[in-house]
Amino acid sequence: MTKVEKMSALERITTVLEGKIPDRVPSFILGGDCDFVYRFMNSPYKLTEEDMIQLDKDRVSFMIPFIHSIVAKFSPPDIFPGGLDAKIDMCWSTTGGGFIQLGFTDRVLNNNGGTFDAVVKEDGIPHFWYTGPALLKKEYIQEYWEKEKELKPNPAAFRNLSRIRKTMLEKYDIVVSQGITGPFENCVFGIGHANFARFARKEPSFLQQHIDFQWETIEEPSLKLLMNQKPDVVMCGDDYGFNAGLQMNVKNWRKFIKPKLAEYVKIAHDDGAKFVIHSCGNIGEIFPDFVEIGIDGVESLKPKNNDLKMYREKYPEITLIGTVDDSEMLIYESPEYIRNSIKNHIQNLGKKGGFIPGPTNFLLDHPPENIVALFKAIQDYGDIY
Amino acid sequence: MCAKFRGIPALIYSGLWRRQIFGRLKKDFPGKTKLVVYITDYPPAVSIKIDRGNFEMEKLEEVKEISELENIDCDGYFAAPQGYVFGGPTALMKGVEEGKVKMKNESIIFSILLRIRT
Repeated sequence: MTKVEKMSALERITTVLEGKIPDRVPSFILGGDCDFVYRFMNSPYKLTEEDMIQLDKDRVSFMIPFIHSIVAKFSPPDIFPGGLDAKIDMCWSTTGGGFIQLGFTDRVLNNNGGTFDAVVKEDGIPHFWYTGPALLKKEYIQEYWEKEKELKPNPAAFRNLSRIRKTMLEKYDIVVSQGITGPFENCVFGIGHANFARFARKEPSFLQQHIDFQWETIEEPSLKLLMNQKPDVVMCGDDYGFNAGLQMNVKNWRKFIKPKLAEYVKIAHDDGAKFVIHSCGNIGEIFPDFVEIGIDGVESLKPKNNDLKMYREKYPEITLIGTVDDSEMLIYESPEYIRNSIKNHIQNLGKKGGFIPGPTNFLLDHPPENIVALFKAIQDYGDIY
Repeated sequence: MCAKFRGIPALIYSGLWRRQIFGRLKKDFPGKTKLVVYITDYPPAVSIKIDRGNFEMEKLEEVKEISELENIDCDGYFAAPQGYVFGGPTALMKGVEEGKVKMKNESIIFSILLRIRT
C-alpha cells in the first residue's frame, strides 16, 4: 500500500540539506548507463506501453545516463499508475560544453580538452565515456586558450535542463539536482593528472593561468546560465579521490581547486540553491574544507573507502548522499540481504537527519531486482523520525 | 577491446538502440529506410537499415571514396569528416560549400540524425 507522504520530495530534500529533520529519509540516484537500461528493460519491472504513453505525454527525458524515465517508474502508483512503489526523491542531470578541434590532432575534443569515444561492443550494447587528456604539451594548452570564443557555453542546453527539472518535479514529485563539471575534472580531463602534478610543482603560475582560463571561459558563464534557470539543488561532479585517498597532494587541492569550488558554492547559494558535490573515492581529508566553504551535501561516499560514521558525527553540517556500495553489494548480494543492510544503514547514519542514501555511482551491470529492493527498503525503513 | 562500431557510427547506433530499447523506434520511423553514413576521416562507411521497430548497422569496408556512395542502393547518404559533424549546422554548411560534405536526400538524413540526438 502506498504511504501518504507528509512532505513533497523538494521539501524533504531541502529540509535535510538545511540540517533539519524531514518526515522520512529521502533517496537519491545518479543514473545508469546502457548496460543497466538493457537489464531493466528486459526485466519484469520494464516500462510498459502504457508507461511510455504517460511518459511521452509528460515529455519525460529518455536520455542515458540520467534515465529519468526509469527513475519515474519507481514512483508510487498514486503518482504514476504503473509505478514500482519504491520512491526515488532526487536524481541528477548535467550539461557539458560543446566540442572543439585543435590543430595538433585530428580528434574532436570535449570543451575541457579531453578526448571521448563511443563504442558498441560485440554484445550490441553501446557505451560512451571520457578516454584521456589531449592537452599533453604546454603549446597544446596555449592553442586551447586561443579557442576562447568556441568554448563559451550554449544557453539552450541550460534551458533544456530547466524543462527537464520542472517536468520531473511537477509530474512525478522528483527533484532533479543539476550541475556542470567541477574545476578539477575540467582541468585534468584536458591536461592529465601527470601534467597537473608537474605544473603544480614546477610552473604553478602556468597551472593557475589554465585553471583561471577555464573558470572565466567555461565554468563561471555556465554556472550563471544554470542559475538563471533557478534550480533548487546544484550538484557538480568533480572526482578528487581514489580508493585510498586524494588523487593529488592536499596542498595542491587547497591551492588550486578549493578557491574555485568555493566560487561554485557561492554562486549557487547567492541564488538560493543548495550545493552538493559528487566526488568518488576516499575524500575524508578535505571534509573540513567542505564545511569551511559551505557545501551542503557530499555524494558518492563508498562505504569501504570512507568512515561514514565519523563524517556523520564530526561534520553534521554536511549531508551524506549515496553511501550504498554499488561496486559489490548491489551487484552480488540478494534483494533480501540488501533490504536488511539498508535497514541497518539507515539506523546507523540516518537518525539525526543529514542522510540521503542511494547507489554510490551510476548503475552499470546491477540486477534490477536489487535496485528495486534498495529503493523499496529506503521507503519502508526510512520512517524513523 | 573488440568493438562493432566506434566514433560517430557508434553514436548513431546508440541513438537508434536507445529508441529501440524504449520501444520508440517503430513510432519514430514507421517505414522502411536504408541510409549510408561515411565519416571520411574515420572509415569504414556504415549502412543503417530501419524496419518496423528494428534496426541493423553494417560496416561497408569496400567504400573508399565519396563518389562510390552513388552506386549503393539506399534512400539517402551522408558523407563528412567528423569535425564538420561535431561543428553543427554552420560547419556542415561550410563543408557543403567546400565540397567536403555530401548528402543525398537531406530530409531523410536530417530527420533521422536530429531524432536520435534528442
